[in-house]
Order: sequence, then C-alpha cells, then structure tokens
Amino acid sequence: MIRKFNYTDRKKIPSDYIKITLRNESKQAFFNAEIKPLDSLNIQDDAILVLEVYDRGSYQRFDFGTVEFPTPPKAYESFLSEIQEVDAVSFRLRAIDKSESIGKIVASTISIRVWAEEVSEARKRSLLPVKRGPIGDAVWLVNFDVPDDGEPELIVNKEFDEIAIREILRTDAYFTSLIYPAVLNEILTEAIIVRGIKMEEDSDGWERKWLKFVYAFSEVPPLPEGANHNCCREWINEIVSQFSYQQSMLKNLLSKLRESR
Amino acid sequence: MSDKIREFNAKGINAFRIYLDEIRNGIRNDLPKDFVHKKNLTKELSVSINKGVDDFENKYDMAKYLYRELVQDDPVKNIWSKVGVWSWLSAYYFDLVCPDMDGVRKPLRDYRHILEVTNVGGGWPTFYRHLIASPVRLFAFSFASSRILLSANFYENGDFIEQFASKKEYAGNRTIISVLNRMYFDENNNKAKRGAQTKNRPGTHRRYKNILEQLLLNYDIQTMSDEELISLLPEEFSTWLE
Repeated sequence: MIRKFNYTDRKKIPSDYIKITLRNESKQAFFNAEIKPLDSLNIQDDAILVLEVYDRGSYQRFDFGTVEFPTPPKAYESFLSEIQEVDAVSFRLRAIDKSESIGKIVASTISIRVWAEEVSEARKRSLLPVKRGPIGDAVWLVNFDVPDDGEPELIVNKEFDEIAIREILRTDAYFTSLIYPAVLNEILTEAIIVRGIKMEEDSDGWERKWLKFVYAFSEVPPLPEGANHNCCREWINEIVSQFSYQQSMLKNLLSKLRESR
Repeated sequence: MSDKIREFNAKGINAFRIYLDEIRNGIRNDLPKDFVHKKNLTKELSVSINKGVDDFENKYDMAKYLYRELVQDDPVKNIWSKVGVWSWLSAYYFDLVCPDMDGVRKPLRDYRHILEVTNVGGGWPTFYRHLIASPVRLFAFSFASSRILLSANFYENGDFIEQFASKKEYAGNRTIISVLNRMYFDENNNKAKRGAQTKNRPGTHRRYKNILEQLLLNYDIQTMSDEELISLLPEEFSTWLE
C-alpha cells in the first residue's frame, strides 16, 4: 500500500479556488484563469505563484503573481504554445517560497484536468483519457505516472492514426474486448492492491471515481475490511468478468473472429 | 560561401523520406546532387547562411550559429514549427548528421532528419530527437549552459540529451541545465568530463537526474539559483564541482 507523508508540511490549494477554461482559436489554444483570494489558506503572503500546464510530453509555465496578489496571465499571454494535446490539458497552481527555504513548494493544487470548450460532453465525462504517445513498440499502456495524483491515462502507440484510433477504440471488437478489461484490471489493481484505497475514504482522487464506477455497474458486494491480497485479486477478477459480460466483450469477439474466417 | 536558406515543400519532404529509405537499403549512398536547391521541392527564404559542413567545430558551435541566423530577432516567423526549414537544414548539412563512414551512410529514424511537430504545441517527444532543430532549441533555452547537452557528435543526440532533454520540464529549466553544465562540462577540453557518463559511479549525470526527481517533488527548481540548487545536492557531487 502506498502511504503519503507530508514531510514538508505542504498546504493544499483546493481545486475550486481556481477556475480555468480552455479555448481554441485558429488551431491555437489559450486559457483563462480566475482565482479566489487565498488569504484563508494560511500560506505566506510573499510566496510566488506559478501555474504549470502539462501533458505527457510537454510542459509550460506561467507566472501568477504572489499569494497576496495573484495575477493571472493576460489573455494575450495565455497562449499554450508548448502544449501538444490541447483538447484536455492538466494544470496545477503552486506557491513557491522565495524568502526562507527558497524554491520549496509550500502549497499546491492537485492536477486539474481542463477540457476545451468544443470537446463533446460524453468525452468530458470519460473516466479514462485516451492519448497517443511514444511508447516504443507497445500497442498500449496505462500511465499512472501523472503528476499530482492526476487520473490514469490510456496511452496508445503514436503510430496509430489519431482519428482512426478513436473510432477503433470505440467500435472495433478486437480492440475493445482485449484492451478494456485489461485496462480495468490494471486500474483496479493499482487502486486497491498497490495504493490500498478503500471505498469509504474521503478523497476526490481518481481511485474513488473508479470505485464508484465499479459499484455502479456491478453487483459484487464491497470488499471486506482488511481483505488480503488473494481476496482483492479475486474481487477484481469478478469485477472484470462482470464488466466484460455487460459489454458483451466475449460474444462480440467470437462473432468478429467467425466473420473473419 | 553563402546560401539562401530554403524550406522543403510537401514534395521535398516526401522525396527526402524516400532518399533516406534508399540510403538505408543500400540503393544509394548520398542525397542527389543539388537536391536541396531544387526549385520544385523547395522555397527560398530571405535568410542566408554562410557556414558549410566543414565550418563548425562542434554541435554547440552549429547551434549557436543557426540560433543567430534563424531565431534571434525572429527573422522566420514560427520557426520552431517550420518542418520544411529544419528538414531542409538536415539535408543541407547531411554530411554532418549522416556522415559517410568508410563508404557507408547510416541514416537514423526519419524523425532525426525530418522534423515532426503537432499542429499545436511543440511535439517535444519527437522534436528533441531532431539532429538540427533540437540543438538550436536547447541553445535557445540555456545558451552557454547548453554546451554539455551539445557535447556529442553531430550525428547522435548523446546520453546527456537523452537523459535531460527528453523531458521538456528539464530541458527548459535553466537552473537544472546550468548546474549540469557546471558539473560535467570540461571547459579546457571543450567536451564532457572524463568519467561523467560512467555507470554506477557516484555523482554521475544519471545520479543527478535521480536526485532531481526527488527534489522536484518538493522544490520548484526553476525559481532557484544555481547555488541554491547545488546546496541541496548530496556530497557525492562535490568532486564534479571542483
């Protein structure tokens, strides 16, 4: 189980303190950020604020004033010139000490995923962002290495055509029936076995969202308190089996195989 | 020697791709003569260059020169996304980035020669692999401190680039690159210090990267000075700073 210690006494900036919108104009992406006063968070006034913007392969940062005087970038300064995937972009706001322990991150938001205005509502509700990326010769992988507890992403090899792969991942039985159950298995394993997350934990992290999703579609009773590794593994296998049944994964794959013969 | 810089059009890039394949397959051993000047494959820009393949001492020298000609004062708009320009430069300086070694040229993957960028953003994971565009961009990020990143041969990226420039978060962080340069670049010999890349040795560049990964969890290194970052490094790095 992964336990997180806060050795540096870093404070949390709640993600609802900052509201960010993304817009694309002539194939160029800009953001707009509004921030609530941070006075109540007990962060030193002179700490500087930095807004970081990133995806898997790119990174950009913007000065944001200080805790006492937050200053969002002006509209013309908010061009995301370095960011590759501008349909969904991750942001985090950090407060940096400039007086005592210089450079120390004294407060931060979690990773905030922001969707561009033009992205469909269905895609915005998706639990699993799909991206293309350089992953060697692997066909796909689940990336959990998203900074600041960002939600896991399904990375498909960048050799796939961007438009075609979206359609394939939605409709092609070879892909959907082989990839999605495996993805669900990996994500639940990470959440429950590796990170030891329990349903009743009060968090707004991705693990809880996935567990909510699982309880919504399955009839499997919740994991018992103190379940051991084998019990967790059996529970995950059962969830994956129910998910595959409900999505007719096996049936669709067999039918596709028969067609191709 | 002075030449106007040119920009490949789609046909030019396609032809370059085919020639690279033919060289890989032993069908030819060089680009066709005058390929880079073909009017149906290229468009002339208003910027000139006057240095040829024999005029650069090293990759840093090349990056500095091309930065001055192509980036400083913005003579070519949106230069970092000009696929045609960077790909043309790769063909123009082909003897540097794909030298004839004992009668054989071995082009690397296409993206080392033909710049790949996405419509929006920099497409950094492939951008940094380009053998001409990447050195110039790294120079633009860190100027003199980029010498350590640009200490490999013209025709390869080298481990310093692979370790520190593959992530934009590191490549664009002047403090990280400046301290890297201070520790591992040998000013007297104009190349990486001996032993800097030896595996399993204390305080090497890969250890520096490991330590940075830990520090970045708690520090915003970009707002720190070199000295402030150095003060956080363990003792094992002190020999490299002497």
